[in-house]
Amino acid sequence: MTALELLVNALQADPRRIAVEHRGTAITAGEFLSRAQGWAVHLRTAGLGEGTVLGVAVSSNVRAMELVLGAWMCGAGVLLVDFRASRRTLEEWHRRVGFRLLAGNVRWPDGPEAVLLPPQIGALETLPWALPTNGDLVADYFVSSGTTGFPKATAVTQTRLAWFERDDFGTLLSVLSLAFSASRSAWYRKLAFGKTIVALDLLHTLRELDEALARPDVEECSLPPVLIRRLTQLTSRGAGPRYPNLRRLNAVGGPAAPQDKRCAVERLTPNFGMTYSATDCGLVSRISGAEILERPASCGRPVAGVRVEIRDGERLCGFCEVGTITVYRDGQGPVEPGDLGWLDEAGFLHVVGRSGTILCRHGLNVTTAQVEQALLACDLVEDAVAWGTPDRDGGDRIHAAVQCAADAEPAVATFVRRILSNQERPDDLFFSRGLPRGPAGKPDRLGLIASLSAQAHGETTHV
Amino acid sequence: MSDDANSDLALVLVAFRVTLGRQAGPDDNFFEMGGDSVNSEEVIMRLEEATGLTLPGWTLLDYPTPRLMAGFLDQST
Repeated sequence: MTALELLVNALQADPRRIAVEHRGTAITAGEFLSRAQGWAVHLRTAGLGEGTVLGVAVSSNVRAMELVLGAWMCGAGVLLVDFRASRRTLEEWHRRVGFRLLAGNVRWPDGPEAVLLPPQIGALETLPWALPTNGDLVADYFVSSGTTGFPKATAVTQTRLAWFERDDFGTLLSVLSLAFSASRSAWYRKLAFGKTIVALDLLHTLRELDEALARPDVEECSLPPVLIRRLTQLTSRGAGPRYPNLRRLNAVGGPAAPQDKRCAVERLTPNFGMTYSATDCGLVSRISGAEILERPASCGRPVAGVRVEIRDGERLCGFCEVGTITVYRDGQGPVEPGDLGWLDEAGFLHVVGRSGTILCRHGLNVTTAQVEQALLACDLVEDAVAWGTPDRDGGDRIHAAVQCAADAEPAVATFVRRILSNQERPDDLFFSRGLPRGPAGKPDRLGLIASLSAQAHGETTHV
Repeated sequence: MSDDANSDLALVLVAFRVTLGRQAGPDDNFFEMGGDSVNSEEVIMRLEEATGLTLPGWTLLDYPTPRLMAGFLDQST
């Protein structure tokens, strides 16, 4: 069975059930399917067909998923990009995969034909042609986060995408852009199993997020570390978890700071957890609830079917020894996600940072993750990114950008000067009200570094 | 444009300028000027303080230019 058949069957099984709720408006399964069919006719007329690719860069997750289904009905694949992506990014994706059409607002000469989005598409009860059934057609491109270069894309076929075995949770609160693969996978899973999705807009206030998480029907949500942190800092409503009905709250798009993970379990929900995964090897480990309270710095034990080794070249490292994380899945491997870490004696994995992020400062090693964690120890810091550049003495100069409120900058600067150790204290500190981010909410590290590198001369400055 | 609409436009232009750190024109797109989810919340907060309205977080998604946002505010009051 293909992913298209799976989702269409699920939507047709009970057309009157609520599939998606957006801005307080309920969209039934039947209506959602009809909209997708309307888009399919529009896209096919515009030239989308079997084996072609639709680029999607729209600000509405609901619209994005309608377009995905519509494209699949044409036998096409989709590649989703954040709606704020630059023209250069879209041009690069077009160069790599070849968009036949691009749904979004960015256009350029000699680029793919832009699909103009009408304010409404006429819903179609019946698709004028039979659904494509070729399982080998590319359905989707899963894109990496791009922390070490331009993101990589992995083509996933219709058959491969229809892997969902089960869905243990009810209504999903969708917060992150569907340009983030994990966010899109969650939508596929919910639609396939006939569950409801409450779609928050990509721009929302913290108040709106807090209210949505507290809804009695919302059971599952994934959030980036910066939002987890902000939620834990909200004034308590009283005894008990802030979101008593939440059965799963995941931190995604990067590791949450240990103190934030602990606060999330203690204040938000005992069902808070995080996973460690990588584009090349999938899910590696998971940690949640009580385990987080015991080992807040860990990303958990390897999941079933996965074995993790820590290696220093050919040598196998011992417990609590830092080395290259090496993953074996179902006997296949090894795959190196590109991270450094260590295993404790109970088998819990601790990720230290990306390979190549060990900096040498005054003769001592420190990782960028250590510097970031040290900065996050200040409650006024919402998020932090650290990086190094070679200095004149053969070591590294450490730079850091922190996200905080404008009136918090003096206190943060004082914290950095007085509290951080010599090893962790950045040589250059940049302040920002909002670090540039990718669709998963993860800081756009490369973009930030590129724009700031030229300014790094021992001054504090604003981004 | 009515006086109220002009007044709303002026309010929005100020909110954009203070948040983004540079002057915006009436038809400049917030996101193309470098706006993101964090400073969009700031713009919303400033407009809420100035108008007394409660604005949803998605307002800038639907009304990304000062002119469009001013029109929305004018309709909302």
